[in-house]
Amino acid sequence: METRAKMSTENSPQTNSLAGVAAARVREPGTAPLGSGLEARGVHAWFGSHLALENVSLDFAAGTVTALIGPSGCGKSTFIRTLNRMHEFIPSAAMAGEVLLDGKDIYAAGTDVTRVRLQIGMVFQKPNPFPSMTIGENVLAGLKLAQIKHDGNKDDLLEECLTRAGLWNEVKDRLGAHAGGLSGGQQQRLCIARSLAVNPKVLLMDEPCSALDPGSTLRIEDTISQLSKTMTIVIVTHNMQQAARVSDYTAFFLADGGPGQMIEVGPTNEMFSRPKDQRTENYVSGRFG
Amino acid sequence: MTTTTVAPRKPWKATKADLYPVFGALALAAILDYAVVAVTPMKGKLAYVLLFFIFGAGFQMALKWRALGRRAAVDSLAASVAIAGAVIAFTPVISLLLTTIVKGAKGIYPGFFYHDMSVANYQSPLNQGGVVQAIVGTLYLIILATAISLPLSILTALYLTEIRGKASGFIQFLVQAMSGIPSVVAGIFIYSALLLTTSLRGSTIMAALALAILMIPTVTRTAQEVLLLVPQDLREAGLALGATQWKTVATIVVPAARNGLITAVILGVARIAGETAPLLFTLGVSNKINWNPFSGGQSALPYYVWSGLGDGTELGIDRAWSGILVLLMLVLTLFVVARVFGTRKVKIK
Repeated sequence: METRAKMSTENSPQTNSLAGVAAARVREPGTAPLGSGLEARGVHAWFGSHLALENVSLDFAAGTVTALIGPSGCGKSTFIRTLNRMHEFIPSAAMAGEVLLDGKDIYAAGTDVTRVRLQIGMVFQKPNPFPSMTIGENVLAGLKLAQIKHDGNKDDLLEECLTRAGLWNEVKDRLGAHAGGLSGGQQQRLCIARSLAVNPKVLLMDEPCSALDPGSTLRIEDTISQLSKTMTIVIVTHNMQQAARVSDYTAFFLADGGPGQMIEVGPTNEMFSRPKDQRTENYVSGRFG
Repeated sequence: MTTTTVAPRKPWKATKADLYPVFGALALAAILDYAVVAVTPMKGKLAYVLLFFIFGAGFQMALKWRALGRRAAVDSLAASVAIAGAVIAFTPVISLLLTTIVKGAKGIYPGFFYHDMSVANYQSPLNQGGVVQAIVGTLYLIILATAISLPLSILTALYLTEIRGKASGFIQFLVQAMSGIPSVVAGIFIYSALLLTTSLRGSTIMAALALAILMIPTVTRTAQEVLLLVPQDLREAGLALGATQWKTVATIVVPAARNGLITAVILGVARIAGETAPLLFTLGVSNKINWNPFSGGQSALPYYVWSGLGDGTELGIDRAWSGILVLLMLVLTLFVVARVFGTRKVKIK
């Protein structure tokens, strides 16, 4: 018991500092005219007969950043993949519930799934630039793949996307080089630039910084802050400082021996300073997980 | 813990309501197809098939265009072309299988599997004689040829992928060149190198050597590709635990590539199981079971088929079809057994 009490005192300053970081960037939801955002209603997800995620209802107001935190295997990644219909690529997968984009269920019959994924972009854990394309071609790949006619100047779009992703200055002189020559952090920012070119309403990021060094991580966090002015962002992260730094809202997921569930969601500063659930408190203060 | 009462759904799967228009369009395509062939100069089965594809793909495109737009219509056209390609590729295979089953079934009776040809000849009625000697011979050949070529092939593949010695380029070239050897040359090689110059006579082992020459390049090439797919990280992880290269390869690399290596063997067996030409010079002849693979003539299913066709009589040709059917069943059984016992079950949560 004594050890635990000691641990708790040691951890409390950290908890407070996280809350302090988060409090600095509280923002009212829906301040940007970006539509009504994304809403998950009673989402369940199965792999075969195994229920991996149970009854998650969560609103992502337009123009906000929401961090999904929780230990490994708690269903965060599964949840984020149900939000743009990537879950169904696993052959045994099934789901229940609704995901509404601007009030329309993306799982409704007759939905054009390619259009859903065009509006809800995704950045993956491992940087995955297309190896056969140059840096410039990678950024504009979405236009070609989704067969979008771009009215303006493509060079301007290229510069805009790379600038917003915080990569322009590093690559402006070698846009014709192959993307494989970039560092891991640069490749990930290239992937972010690539997803911006098709102008999504929502950007899903599944642990985008887990393979990156602190410098690259910081740059991507800056990028996220910039992007949140114009789009809705959902980010899965294991890094609690990161959640505190970049997000307006935080949702805590946990699989307590059973299916993954969302334990609690709230404004990030409250989640880190005075969470309602003991389990959230334990997690954010580093007592487990 | 709460238990869920929500039923899992798969909203991405086509529902019945989605499929009715699809089948409706296909039915309409069939009717239109029939009408167009009836009134235009385009005639024949080919016209039916071609027009049905054009109408079917066209209607599916129109449906998709109406529901989801041009991109989805082009997507649907690409899917139709892929389906048509698969149908064109598989039609001859299915036709061949059905023909073999229909024609081969004529000569099949229980005794076909346990009688040999010492009690009958090719012109005997179909309820006399059988292929038991040829089944035994073919099994012997497959087992011996695999036993000879498998270790050589895997070791060669390991040399090329793991050791990467100085001779790699040259050996790679030889393996490529070997895969182009016509099968009859392999038979002539064994005949001239071993049978003509020594007192040895045609036997199972001689034929198996000729077949092994054909099997080695196939298995080596496939095994090499499979071993290259094993991530370099795994080799490094093994070496970083202080393992020797041999231990790393034997306990990590080869087991990781196991399913692929089984595919390599299956492809190798498929390469040789139906070979006739190499057997003509090397197998000798037998119309009874010969349990000794090292001396005396032997029979084999492809050889039985070849003799039946060569006999030229109606009964001989019927026997040849039955022989083909038995060979197909035997090879299929071997593949299923290899897959069932060779595939490690991977547990998915």
